[in-house]
Amino acid sequence: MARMKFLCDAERCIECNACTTACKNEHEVPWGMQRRRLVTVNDGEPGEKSLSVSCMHCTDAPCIAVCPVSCIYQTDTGIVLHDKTICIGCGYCFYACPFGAPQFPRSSNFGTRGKMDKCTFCAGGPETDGSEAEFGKYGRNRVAEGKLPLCAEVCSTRALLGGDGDVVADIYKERVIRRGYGSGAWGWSTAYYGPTHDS
Amino acid sequence: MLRAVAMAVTAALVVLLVYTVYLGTISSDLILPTNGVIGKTTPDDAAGGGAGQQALRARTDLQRWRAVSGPSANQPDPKADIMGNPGTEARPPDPATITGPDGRSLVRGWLSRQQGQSGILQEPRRVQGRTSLPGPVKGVFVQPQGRLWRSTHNGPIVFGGAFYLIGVAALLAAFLSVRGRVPIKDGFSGQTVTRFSAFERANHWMSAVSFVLLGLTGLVLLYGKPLIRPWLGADRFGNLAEGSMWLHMALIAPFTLGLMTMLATWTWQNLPTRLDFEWLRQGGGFIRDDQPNPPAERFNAGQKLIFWAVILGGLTLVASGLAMMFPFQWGGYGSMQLAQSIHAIVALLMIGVIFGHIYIGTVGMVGAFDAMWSGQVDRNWAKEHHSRWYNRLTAPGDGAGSRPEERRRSA
Repeated sequence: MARMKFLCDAERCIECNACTTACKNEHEVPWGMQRRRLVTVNDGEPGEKSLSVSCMHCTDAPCIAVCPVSCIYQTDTGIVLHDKTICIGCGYCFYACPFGAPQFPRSSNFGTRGKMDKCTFCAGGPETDGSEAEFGKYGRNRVAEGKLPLCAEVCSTRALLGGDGDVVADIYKERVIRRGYGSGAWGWSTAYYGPTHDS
Repeated sequence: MLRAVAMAVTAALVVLLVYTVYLGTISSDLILPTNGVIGKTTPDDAAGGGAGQQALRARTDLQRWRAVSGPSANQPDPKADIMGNPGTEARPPDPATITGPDGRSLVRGWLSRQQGQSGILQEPRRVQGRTSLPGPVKGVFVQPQGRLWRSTHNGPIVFGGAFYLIGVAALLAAFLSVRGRVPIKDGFSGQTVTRFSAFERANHWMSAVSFVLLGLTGLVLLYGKPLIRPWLGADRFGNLAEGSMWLHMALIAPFTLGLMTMLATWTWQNLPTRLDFEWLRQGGGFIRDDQPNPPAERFNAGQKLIFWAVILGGLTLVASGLAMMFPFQWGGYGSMQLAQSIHAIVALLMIGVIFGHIYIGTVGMVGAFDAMWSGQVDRNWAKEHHSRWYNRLTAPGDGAGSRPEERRRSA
């Protein structure tokens, strides 16, 4: 069984922002929200690294655990999706999310949050796959077309890998051996093997 | 009769309390894949079953070293078998084709691969960088303490809060079944004095109604998922929760106004005095009937404690609530998580305190409810529970303006 994961190779990412731009364009993400973003650590210092980050589709996802209306769910391929008809925009998922993935439009009363929006691994939402309704709420459903997330497929340096977690990890390990160095799979321990409550 | 009912309620609450403890100890709180919103029947599997997963895996292989794996012009793109599964409105997917192993074994399988990845995993730690994208906290790459907030919220706060609220209710019911209602020792005199003005009462009830609604709408968010959602269904509970959140935020206006008015009108009467320690030492005279109640001014020590709990708790709730209404205006992740936890904990504590307040103001004490409802209390009640205040009120020659007409009305 395939388990979908993202991995950003920090040695390869050049902070070109193609992933964030492609994502915004593909899914027509509204103004002010970024499903994917680029973070540069140690900017301007030795050891500077750029990392592309969005929802990592965690195992034992904290957002699902804290959602007071259970609008977030996970598929058997590990993709974390949500139902915007049920979401109330409370923001709990944002406090719980290790990666700052949930985004909120300013549309509710008193200028606060509307319904949550986040990376869907290009897999849409609960509506019929590929339908207008699904596109309007969650953007393109590439997974249903047998394609992988656009951010990973568009990456010019192949820094951002997305797809089956075992294959992605293999690709990264091969690279590390060839290159002789690598700073590791950023965020993986928190996302996929984080402390769980099922001992 | 009343005591028998109270005893039955106590027993029921104790059973509930034990059940809460049991639930708290068995709660594993592990998230399992469901392929759809819990409670909805339609599965949602974009990958499209086994064939789709194979296609996705094959496509992942294309991301290998280009010299090794590079896409070939002669080969068509790997694609999922679209006809195989995802389905349409008219022809929904066959659930049988997409139910693989159950969620728990799937998650176990995912977690078990940690060993193989140990070479590339990093120590979980907070990573802060900078980003060119606008918005607060966008520069944080990862904050593993989100998982800590989650386990605190779903563990100690949810189960501790339930334990505390049920426990307070059980204690009050037990007290009622043992003590009964606190009586007026000399009985009703039939004559009344004014205890609270119309303005004070209006403000009290505005605050009370908004507090009760705030409490109920807040509890919908905290306990609705396990308690209400199974009955209402996912969609209707979503609407209820959305309405609750809207009302919860709208009520901040009357609640804050009520708090401020109380602060302005009652603070000087609620400053602690030596009398209060004596009152507390004697348990307020609630426990036994055979000795006179300790003397008290207009507000006794118990009421002063309620007052300060409401003022300090209420202001904390307003502050932490505003922090959540305008997220990340006053801090980062830590502040937001702290604000939410403080809000939940203080709110639960205050609901318990208000349980006690409602109890003693209604069923717990004969004659107490009139004080806030009609504003007129029986003279014997006033004499017994607020002797100093009553004496000052009825003392001849007291210059206060409203007093003579009161006497005339009650006489």
